[in-house]
Amino acid sequence: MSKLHNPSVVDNLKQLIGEDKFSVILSSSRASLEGILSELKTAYTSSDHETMRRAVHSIKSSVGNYGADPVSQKAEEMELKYKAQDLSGAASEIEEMEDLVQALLTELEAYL
Amino acid sequence: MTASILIVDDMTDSRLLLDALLSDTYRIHLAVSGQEGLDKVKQHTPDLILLDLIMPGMDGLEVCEILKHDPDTQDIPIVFITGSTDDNEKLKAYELGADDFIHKPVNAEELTTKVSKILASQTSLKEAREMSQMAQQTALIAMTNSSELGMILKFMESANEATSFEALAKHLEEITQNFGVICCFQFNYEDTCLNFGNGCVEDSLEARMITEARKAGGIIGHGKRMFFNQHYVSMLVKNMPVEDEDKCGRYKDNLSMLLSAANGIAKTIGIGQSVARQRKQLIKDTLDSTFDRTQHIMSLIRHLESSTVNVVQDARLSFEEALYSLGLTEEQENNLIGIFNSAMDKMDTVKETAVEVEDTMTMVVKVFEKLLNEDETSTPKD
Repeated sequence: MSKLHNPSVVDNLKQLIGEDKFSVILSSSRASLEGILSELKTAYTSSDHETMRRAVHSIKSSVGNYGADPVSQKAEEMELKYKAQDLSGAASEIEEMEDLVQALLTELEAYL
Repeated sequence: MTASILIVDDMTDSRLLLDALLSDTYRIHLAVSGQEGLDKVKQHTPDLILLDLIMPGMDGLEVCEILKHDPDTQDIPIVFITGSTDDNEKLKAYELGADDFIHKPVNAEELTTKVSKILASQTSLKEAREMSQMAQQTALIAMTNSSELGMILKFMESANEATSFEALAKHLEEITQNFGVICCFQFNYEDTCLNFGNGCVEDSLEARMITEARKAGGIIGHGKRMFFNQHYVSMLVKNMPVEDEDKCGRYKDNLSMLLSAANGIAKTIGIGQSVARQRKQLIKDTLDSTFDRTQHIMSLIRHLESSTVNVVQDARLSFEEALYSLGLTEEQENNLIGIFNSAMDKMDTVKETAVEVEDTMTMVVKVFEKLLNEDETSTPKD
């Protein structure tokens, strides 16, 4: 199974900023992503497409730092839909995104 | 001095990542929202702002607009950090004054290169502004100096017509008042020493101080008091603007130049007055000599006149004695008396001419006396 993140991007980042800072940033990403997913689900219950758009945009930015292109692409698709106020299939998309993020974070745990 | 960068991003991991990439080279300040970003700008005045475009609450565009409308912050370069692919948002950001964009995920090399270039151009801009301000300041000083030199030129033009030290002193007082300084002046030419201006009279404290300073020569400064000395004229300035170093230096140069010009004029006045005195003395000597000669001529005329009267009287007596002893007929006597009287009449005419000469000479003497008296009263004192 191919990885969600790009190992060379992560290795390069780790080398660039050092292991300690990388650990801090990774922990911070985990906390941020979990918070954003929670915010996304809450926004969906009230059909707050703008908050949903901003949330998936933040996910896209955060996972982008690890070269997680499949997750980024999915987040971008969702962002464009929410921007167009299209919430069709949003529930399953959010679930899928949650799974992707969890899988990514599990992969990244290996770097700690 | 290390440049400072403010990072404004609501995403903690993005903030920390940018901090990790830049903190070895720059001083970093962090803000988690647009409002905190504005507060940190006021607090730290960073050299560059890295601003997230999409944030909850006040977004990056709003922060950018506020900063670019504030004269205190409008020159701080703003680089947007964004994961957005929306070109309209980017266009709007540029319209609001954004300097550049960096796309998420951030490429470390692109980030450091852009930051470095923007800060370098910011430094150049600051230096150019400082140079521009300096140039403006220099131009202002040059214009002021030019105005002061203009006043000195005007002084030289008008004071050059002065024919007395008093008139020259008036010109000096006028120009030094225009400079805003209080001055006393002392002129020294041959044995003449004259004092003018602001309570400076003979034996006054100012006059004595100038006399002392004159012995040292050149420019002597004692706090606000400064003495300027030239060969024929010295000046005491009582209120040099010592609190303004540039102005004081400029005044020192320009007032020195002024006194140098005044010195040349004072020399011309001195020479002119000296020549006038010599010329008057020569005229007086000539008048004295002519007066003496005229008096002598008059005494000769009077003597001649007196001698002529005596000769005529003697001749008349001798003629009458001779006439009666000759035994002439009455007709013959009358003829001889007629001839004699005719001769006497001619002698009277000569005598009258002599009297006229005497009257004329008397008038000439009176004119000489008057000229001599006038010469005595009009001899210049300065």
